Amino acid sequence: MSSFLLGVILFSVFGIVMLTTQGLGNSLATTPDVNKMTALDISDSSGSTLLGLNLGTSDTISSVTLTFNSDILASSTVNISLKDIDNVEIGSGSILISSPTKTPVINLSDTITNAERNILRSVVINVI
Amino acid sequence: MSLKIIFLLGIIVIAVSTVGVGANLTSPTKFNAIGSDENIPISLSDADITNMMHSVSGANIDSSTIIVRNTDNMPHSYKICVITKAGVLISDTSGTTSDCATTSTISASSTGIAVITFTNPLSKTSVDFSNISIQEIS
Repeated sequence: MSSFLLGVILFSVFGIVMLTTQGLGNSLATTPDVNKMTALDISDSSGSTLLGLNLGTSDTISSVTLTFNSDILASSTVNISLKDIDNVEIGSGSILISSPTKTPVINLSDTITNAERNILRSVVINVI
Repeated sequence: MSLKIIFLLGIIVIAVSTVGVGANLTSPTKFNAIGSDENIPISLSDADITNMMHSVSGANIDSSTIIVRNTDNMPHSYKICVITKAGVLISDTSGTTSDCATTSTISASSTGIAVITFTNPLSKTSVDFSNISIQEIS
């Protein structure tokens, strides 16, 4: 009889240990969203310091509005290049500034599609 | 051999095995090792950056306002971090998460906002690079 009781006690202890261990294992489960990440690099060699980059709220990008800290001089050309996560250019454009401005709007030569927008990774801006 | 010893040995064997399985599960550092040899692909977040605007205070850029659009058909919130550079100077302090902000829950196809204040404001005349990262947290 005492052996039976000892067995019951030991199995109970084992059960507690097992459930505790199982619980620790479950606590490591993560939601599918936890590791979803996106990043965007913005490089500016204009010398006027880029303060704002407006890509718009639509699914596609057909134009980009830039805001600089200081005026872009007349006769300058502002160029923009947009690349995806594989460093492939998916959009580009330029504008010749006719009068000094801090907020040029650049129309892209080829609209960035919804699928391309999802993988947009870098924006490079320069002024020549 | 007595029944007690048989029970005891059996329990020890099973318990040790169970503890071993549990130990295998406690390996979060490798699971999340980004950029290591055991790299695990990370899905892109369901968010588009729609607008970035640095704010100027005096001679420095001291914060950045980021607007993102939830492109999913489910509500999400996002943790957004921004680092700016001016030459070799950076606006963040390495190893911290101070230059981050979390959006409220954004409904499907709507936009949300996050304002990130920089730990080390940099000169508004010399900032030449910004990195914006978005982590989908719910």
